[in-house]
Parts: sequence; structure tokens; C-alpha cells
Amino acid sequence: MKKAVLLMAITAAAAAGAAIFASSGGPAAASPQAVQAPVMETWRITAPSDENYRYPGVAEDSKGNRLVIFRGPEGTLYDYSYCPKGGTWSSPKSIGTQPALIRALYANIRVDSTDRFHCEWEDGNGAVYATFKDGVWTTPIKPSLLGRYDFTSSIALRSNDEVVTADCEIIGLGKDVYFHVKGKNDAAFGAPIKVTNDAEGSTQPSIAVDSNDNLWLAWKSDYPLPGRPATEDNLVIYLSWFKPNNEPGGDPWIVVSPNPGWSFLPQVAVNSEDKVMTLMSCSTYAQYLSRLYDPATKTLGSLSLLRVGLPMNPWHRFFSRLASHNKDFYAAVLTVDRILKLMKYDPATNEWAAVATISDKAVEIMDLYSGYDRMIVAYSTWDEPTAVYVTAVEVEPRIPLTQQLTLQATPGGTTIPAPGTYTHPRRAVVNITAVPDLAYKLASWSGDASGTATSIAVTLDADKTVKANFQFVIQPPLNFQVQNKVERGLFNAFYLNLLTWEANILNTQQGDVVAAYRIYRKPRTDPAAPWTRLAEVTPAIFSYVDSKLLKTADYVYTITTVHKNGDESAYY
Amino acid sequence: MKTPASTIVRSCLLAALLAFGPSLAVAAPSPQSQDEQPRFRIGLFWEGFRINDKNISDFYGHVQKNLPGIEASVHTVHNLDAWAAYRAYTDEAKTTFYGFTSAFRMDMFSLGMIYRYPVSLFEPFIGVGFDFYAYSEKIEGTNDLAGANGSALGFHGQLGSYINIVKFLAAKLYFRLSVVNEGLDNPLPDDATRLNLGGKEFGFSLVARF
Repeated sequence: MKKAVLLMAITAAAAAGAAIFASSGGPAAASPQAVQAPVMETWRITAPSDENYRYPGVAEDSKGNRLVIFRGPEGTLYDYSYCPKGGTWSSPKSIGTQPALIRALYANIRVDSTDRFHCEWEDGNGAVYATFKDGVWTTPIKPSLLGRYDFTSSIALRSNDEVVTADCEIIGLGKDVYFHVKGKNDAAFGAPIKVTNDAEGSTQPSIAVDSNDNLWLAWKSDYPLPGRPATEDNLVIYLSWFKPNNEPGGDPWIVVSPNPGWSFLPQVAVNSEDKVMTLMSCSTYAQYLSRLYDPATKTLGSLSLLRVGLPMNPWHRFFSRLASHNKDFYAAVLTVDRILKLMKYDPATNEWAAVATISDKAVEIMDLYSGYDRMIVAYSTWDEPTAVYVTAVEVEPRIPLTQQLTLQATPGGTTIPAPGTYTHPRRAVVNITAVPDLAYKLASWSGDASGTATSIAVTLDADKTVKANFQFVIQPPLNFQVQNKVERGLFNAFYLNLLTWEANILNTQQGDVVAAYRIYRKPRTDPAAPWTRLAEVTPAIFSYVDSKLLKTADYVYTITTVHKNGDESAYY
Repeated sequence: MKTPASTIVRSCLLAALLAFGPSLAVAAPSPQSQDEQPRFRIGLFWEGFRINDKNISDFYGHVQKNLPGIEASVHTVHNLDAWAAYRAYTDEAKTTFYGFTSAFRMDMFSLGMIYRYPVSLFEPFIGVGFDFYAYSEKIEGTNDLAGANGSALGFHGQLGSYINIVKFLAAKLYFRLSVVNEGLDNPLPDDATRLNLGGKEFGFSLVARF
């Protein structure tokens, strides 16, 4: 359809528009210490033509392969271009069989634990969803809607690769945010879950997942704030969270926007410290604003202005994108003259600073993705014919999120892996097996695990300590023997069986733990018969005589050891 | 072990023999005059008794026991003597498992007739008679294992010779074979149902005669 043309690979040194802002609000001074241009590369994905390519979304998998999707020039289908790590971008191709678009604006991509790209692009009657891996697309599907689709959608993945999309649906006069959830192995999304209240005018959702698989939602609401006339326009941004089962977290909604004020198009992201950043466009201030929320302390920071202005013309075309990278937050924003800048948040000052100017052309819309050591921005230009570009800006490598697993074992056994402290990727599932020593058993797991199963799987959603508690198992005595004897005088006799045994060294090693020995017998002719307890003798005795037996008596015997705690060993 | 009734019948038979035996002997020929030989002989003997019963010999561990005894005879007529003897057979062993003492005692009474044939210093003799044995086993130290007692009646034959040392004293060498069997109501531990209490006796006796 179109030829892939890699037009530019521009390093930072060559990027005339790349500038560093040492502090918020203006260009960096020409200080040699402060200015260090980032390594930056830009690729034109779509060939120069009279056709318009727009509305891109971009992502990178764990291997460094990159995927960009965008609306094709016919205006009704989405195309994609794929760039394997170290390779070149492929020619734009259509994403298989897909519903014809009514309207497109946003595209989002997330990558799951198996490096599958989960793509969502907006349509006028609901988002379209498809996945891509190893060059193969799944058939695009649409989550079912309860109402009429409204503006914007967002996508997030939980650690179990559950997909959640959020959109706005209108039923009557009610306009609410809905979640659509699809399990990893589900073929389709489940029924929509309404997460806001009717008639609040809730729309423009943005979602992100924290380390505990809680889902954070920022959305715009037309709901009049308390104390203000219901007729007065007031567009606020709310922040709320939902549990891993998508039930509300229980905290009151947080107003993160200026109050009063008109705010739009929120973006939310969660960093490696589970702090939640909300970015929004505020026409009242004519600025992008951000606000940091710390769920641990339930502290809402003060508003921060990005100080790049808002591209107010045409109305509402002031999009932004927000992404976290390690502890940092990055934002891709359009300046008042639609220049695309990548900005980074400084928590010390609560200010944003420009990292790079991504494009010196006017940009219509963009996507931002946190790659391994690049912030990747895909954007489409403002002036027609519009083209799609991808720019990668070097940042510090992503620090794998790790959790520590401390394994402990009481005497009497060990674990696999051996006791010690291990570092695993966050949410890694670690299989732990208890290996009791001879004469021991696993009594229980304690700490951050429980139960008595020999093997357990621990999900490291936090630092965890798991202890295997082993318990000595009283052992039957050794060398149990039965000798047939007769007690006779000249004229009379009776028969007896002399039972002898020896103390089990494994019991002896435990100290004074043996309470008794129990002797059982049953007829040899009835092997299925239960054992009948014959006698219990003190631990100092190692023989027993089953006496006064008939000559025809024929028994089999067994013996157990009784622990002082009442436990009884297995039969000899 | 026999029942008490059986023992009583045997005892009656023995009493009849003791009563009528001497008179039966009167008819025997006598090569020696009544005045030339002493009328009474009383002796102490020491004999080896090899009991036939394998249970007893095995359990107590002795094939032969040496028994002291006492005997007496009275001359009737024609070198025929009515003769009686008593000896006690005792033995001990430990029970097979617990080791209690099993004490066996058998009082052996014999009564018979012997015929002597005086030849200078030697007086060879032969004889036959009846035996009455009363036996018992006592287990000491326990009630778990019971003892038993009973009696048996049998007969014997014997031969030997007196050796007249001086007028009032003679020695005697003899061999005696007794047959004394006892049926048992309760079998022995090895399932034997009879006691063979007889055996072979060979011994030496010092006999006072007067």
C-alpha cells in the first residue's frame, strides 16, 4: 500500500530542535554542565505522499521490537509498521480484517508478559481491539457496548495479562465510564462494567495499573462541584482506583483538577513507587497541569503547570500523553504552537522540564511509550498531507521491578530453592518445594505462605518471607522380630510369641520423645482385618510376650512408637 | 494321667497280689532246707534307671538317673522269696521359656517273687512282679503352667545274683526290666498320649540277711 521509507535517523547531536530545559518554564541556559543533548532517533514511518496518515500508537516489547499503528490514508482502516530490534521499519500494512472506522483519534498499545502487543484504536462507535505477535494479528474485535460510544478509550494490562479497556458510553442523558475486561485466555471482552454514576457526564477515561494490580482511573466529569450551581459549567478531573477484581477501591473520588475550572483529557500513570500522576489540559489556565497522588499516604500534591501553553486552536486539540519510566514520569505535550515536546517531572520541585523537542513541525496527536532505555513517541503531523513519525529518546534503562523473597526453614529440612534471600522480578511466580529430612515432615508454611502442601507457588507482588516449618515424625522402632516360643513343663504347655525390637536412632536423636511402644496384631489368615492393639509398653522395654496362645494361634504383629505429644508413628 | 477311679482299681489289684502272692509261692520246689538260709533280707541299693519315656528323658535331660532305694524280701518256701522295693525317681528342669522349675517325682513301688538258686557264694535269682508308680510334676513359682500327677501300674522281670559275703551280709547285682505304661487323657505338648514309665534298672545292693 505504501512504501516504507526511513527518512531520518537523527541523533541528538543532529537534532536541532532538541533542547534541554534545566528547569521548568523555559529553555535551559547554555551551561556546559546542564546541557546534555539526549540521544534521539527519528523515523518517518509513512512515505511522503498526498495521503494522510494519522493517529498513531506505539509500543516496544521486552526484546526491543517496536510496533506502531496508525490510521491509513483511506480513513477507515488501521495500518501498522513493525521494527524488529536492530532492524528497519516495515512498510505500512493493513491490520487484517477490521471494521471500517467511523472516526479515529486515539491509538494505544500495551505489551503483555509474553511480548504480545495489545492494540486498541478508537472508532466512532467503540474502540477496536486486536493483538499482534510474531507478525500475526488476531482478528480485531470490539467490546460490546451498553450505550452509545463517546470520546476516547484507554487500555491497561494487569500482571496476569488481563486486559482492561475503559471508554465512555452514553445512555439517555447519562454519560459514564465503563470498563471492558478480557481475561488472558478469553476470546472476547466481558459485559461492560459501569464505574461512574449516571448523569455525572463522566468521559475521557485514562487507566493505569499499579504494582498491586489495582487500576487507577482518571476521567473528566461535567458534574457540578459541591456548592456550585448545577447549571454552571465545571469540568473537573477525578481520580479513583479499583481493586484487581475491578470493584471500587472504596476511597472517595479525588478531584485532581483546578476547582473551579475547565479541565480535559486526563492521562494517568503509575510509577515504580506506585505513585500516581495525573496530567490534564486546563483551558482555564491555558496550560497542561499535573498532580501527583501518593496512595500510601493518601497525599495529593499541589498542581504543577507544564508551562508550554495549550494549542487552543482549534478547540480541544490539545492532547497530551503521560508515561512512567522507573520512578520518573514523562509527558509528551504540544506547545501552544503545536510543537511536540517530551517533558520529565521533577518530584523535588514539582516542576516539569523539557527533555527534548520531538518535532519542530506542528503535530496533531501523539502516543508515548516507555521502552527499555528509550521514551518512544509516535506522532502524526498537523499539516496535510499528514505523516507518521516515531522518535526514540534515550533515557536511563528501565530498572526491573524486583521483589525479594526470603526463604527460611526450621531444622529438619530444607527448601528448593535453598533458604536464603532471592531477588525476582516483581510479580514473578516462584515455586517453592519443601524437602524434609529423613524422619521429618512439613508441618506448615508460615510467613507469607500457608498450608501444608509440599510445593507452593508464591507470587511476588511484595517482598515476602516464606518459612517452611518442619516437624519431627516419630519413627517406628527398628528390627522388630517375632519368635514363636513355647512354655512347657513335662505335662502342660502354652504357646507364646516373643516380640523384640530396638529403639530407632532417629527417635533417640530427638532426646526423650518416646512415650511408649504400641503393639498390634491380627490373624494371619485375615490380612484385611484391622490391627488390634495388643499392648502398650514403656519406652525402656524392648520386648513383649504375647502369651498363653493356643497351639493353633497364628498372628502377625506390628509395632508403632508413640511420641510424647501423642503422635503415633507409622506401622513397622 | 489316669482318673482317680483307675488308680483305685490298680491299687486294689496290687493289694490282692501282696496278699496272695506268698501263698502261691509255697507250692514252688525248694532245693535248700528252711533252716539253712536266713528268712529276711533287707537291702539298700543303688541303681541306674534308664527310663523309657522319651518325653521325660528329653524334657529333664537325663537318659539315666541313679536312684537309691530300699528293698526287702522274706523267704517263703523252696528258695522263693517275696520281694518288695521302693525307690524314688526325681528330676528337675526349667520350663522352656520362663525358666520356672519343674520338679518331677515318681515313687516306684515294686512287689514280686524271686527264686534263688544257691551255688556256694553265689545265689543267682530271677523274679517277676508288679510295679506301682505314683508320679507328679510341680511347677514352682507360677500358676500359669499347671503340673500334673497320677499313677501307673505295670510289671517287671528281674535277674541277678546274691553274693554272700558273710553269714549276715550279702551283695547283690541285678538287672530289672519294667513295663509301666500310662494312658493320658490330655496329650503331652508333643501330642504323646501315653507315658512309658518303665525302663531298665541295673544296680548293686548291700543286703543284710537274718
